[in-house]
Amino acid sequence: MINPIYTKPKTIAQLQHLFQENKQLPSIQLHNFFTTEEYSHINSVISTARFTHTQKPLLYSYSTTKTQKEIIPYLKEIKKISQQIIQHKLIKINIQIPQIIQLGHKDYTLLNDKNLQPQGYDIIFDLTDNWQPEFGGNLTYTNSNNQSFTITSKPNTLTIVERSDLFQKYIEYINHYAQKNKRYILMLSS
Amino acid sequence: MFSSSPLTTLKSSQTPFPHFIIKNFLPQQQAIQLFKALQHEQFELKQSDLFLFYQTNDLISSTNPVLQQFRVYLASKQFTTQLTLLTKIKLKPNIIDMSGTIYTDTNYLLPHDDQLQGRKIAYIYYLSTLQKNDGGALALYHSKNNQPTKITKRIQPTFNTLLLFPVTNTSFHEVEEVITKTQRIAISGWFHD
Repeated sequence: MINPIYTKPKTIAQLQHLFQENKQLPSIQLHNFFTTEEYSHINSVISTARFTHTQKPLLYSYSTTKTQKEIIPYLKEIKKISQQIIQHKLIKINIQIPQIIQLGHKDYTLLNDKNLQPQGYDIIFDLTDNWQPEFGGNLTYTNSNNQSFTITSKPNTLTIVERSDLFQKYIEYINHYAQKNKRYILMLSS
Repeated sequence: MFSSSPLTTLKSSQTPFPHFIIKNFLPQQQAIQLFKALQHEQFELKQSDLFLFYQTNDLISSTNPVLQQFRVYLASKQFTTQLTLLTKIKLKPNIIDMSGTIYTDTNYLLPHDDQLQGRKIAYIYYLSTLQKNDGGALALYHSKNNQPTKITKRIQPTFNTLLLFPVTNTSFHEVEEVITKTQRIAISGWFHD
């Protein structure tokens, strides 16, 4: 189901090493993660799901949907390879309740001192097609020293981030150039 | 020297939170002078999760005499006393934050309440006019349990208009994204106690 290259022990060993290279924010991106056919399937399930817009103006504005049964096997694969790369069991991650987010023009998430995320992992699968960086909507990790790491959108890409409590994440405001385009993110966090 | 009409007869708008809109705040010629003076200041791009826009340093450090005179006027005992009479909020004269801001296409400032120690009254003096289809409105939020719920008023920037509102735990507002090439130019800041 996943790109065969990511099933080879030699590749996994390389990914484990690369993951630890960024000492401040250990992270890695796996492009072309699922095979083309599988990616098309999961993409069609998510992009045709019924999303409901939700907003707390001081925290976020985006749309969410309930978990589709069809995506559970994909989430199992995502969790399995993530555990291999980080070399930890992700006990706190429940694949039955991923965050499935759709973002369009005017959507965002904000940092909030009263809503800090503790140390943990973010496993993010990007299902966004035809996105341009100038639309905004980039995922950014930042700390109090204004150091930041930005993850731009790329379809069929799995991103694994080991989040220290010093780094918090937000999704940049999406501007009007996005027009009707939507970002789709599937996220498992601990 | 700067001058404006007396503020004491102004009526505030109360919803969703108290604010004052003063049209034609300065004589037209003074407003144009101020606009021209601001063009010579250095603007720096400011970017975070909350905002994207261009801003000058605090204009207290500006060497431009027109900007300095405007700052002295707004911070003066004469002006802050009028503001206190108008709002019943005690202010310290000569203590004021002031910077120039420019919002260009795609720039924004997401919801917040402006609360920071000492800030009592926020002000925005507009030096450009934007129509509804340009974006850039100041959007005011209705709030419930000290949390913003929805936008209930939008104020489009109009040249030579001063907007004032007391900073409270319900003064939630945002600057909506500018969506054309028309720049939203203003001088803004806070009066302190």
